[in-house]
Amino acid sequence: MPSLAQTMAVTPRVFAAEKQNAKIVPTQIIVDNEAGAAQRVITIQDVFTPAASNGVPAPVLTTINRLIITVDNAGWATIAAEALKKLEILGQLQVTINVADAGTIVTISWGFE
Amino acid sequence: MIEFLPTPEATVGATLPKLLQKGFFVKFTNEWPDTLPYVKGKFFRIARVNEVNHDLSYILPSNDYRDVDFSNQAGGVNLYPENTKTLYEVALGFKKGNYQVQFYIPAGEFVNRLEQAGMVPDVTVVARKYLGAFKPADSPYEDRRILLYFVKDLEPLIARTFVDTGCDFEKCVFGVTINKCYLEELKTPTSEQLARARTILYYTEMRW
Repeated sequence: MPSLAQTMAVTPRVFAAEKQNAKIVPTQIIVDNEAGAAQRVITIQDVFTPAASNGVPAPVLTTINRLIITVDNAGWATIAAEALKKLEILGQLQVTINVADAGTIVTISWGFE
Repeated sequence: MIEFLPTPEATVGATLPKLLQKGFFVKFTNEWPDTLPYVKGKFFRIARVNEVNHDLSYILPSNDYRDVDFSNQAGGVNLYPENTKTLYEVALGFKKGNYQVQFYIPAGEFVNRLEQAGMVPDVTVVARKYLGAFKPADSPYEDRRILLYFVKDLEPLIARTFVDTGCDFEKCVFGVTINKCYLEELKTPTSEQLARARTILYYTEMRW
């Protein structure tokens, strides 16, 4: 099961590209803001271009916020599998932060369904 | 032409393989049209097979649909054979999700409909959007229960893939196993061979 830790020195950060024949299912998200400069807001995003459909024959790149976490300065947030059970990412899994901060570290583990 | 294998109630003794194998027999009924003379009313032995796996995937918005054309015509996904001696037996399953599939062949003619006038599937009509629909649980990706039979130049089979309300988007993933069967015609099959053969109906025989 893949896992990746990245600082949020730049935003957004891509954690996993879209897997065409599967959804990405995060199994654990850890936000370490111990060394962060201030309270930070982390957003888990799902980025994809839908297929053409009857109603939308020319679809465009779409970004959906799937989870937003606020982490206090010098704090941590851990969200484990049970709480993430129904979180599905259809396209690319990426993370944004309200202010780029090299002191904020995000770690995500995920599987595929 | 289209078969749906229901969940078995019980299994007794050895099970038969789900897909056609080398040495199996197939017969095409006389209802197959004159435009497909290479199969109409004919009897074949499967000389060899080759299973080819494939996945199709579409992210679609809620309360919207896409028509997936299985044929080789422009815009199709090219799952029809090009050789008159080839039969494609296609096992189709779906990964979980908030979507459903209704088949029609040719375009506009639904495979599954009822006898009362107007009782045809229509995803734009609340009362009939689930009529004749296959959901992922009916044919799971890991246990494909929908079997489709394609020969060269058969009319296009369309899978109307509809994402139901209650989500923003859904990823619809079709698992497809194309069992390529090379056909060897038997002009005078024995009664035992006839009894053992799998009969392949033309789609018009499933609508009455």
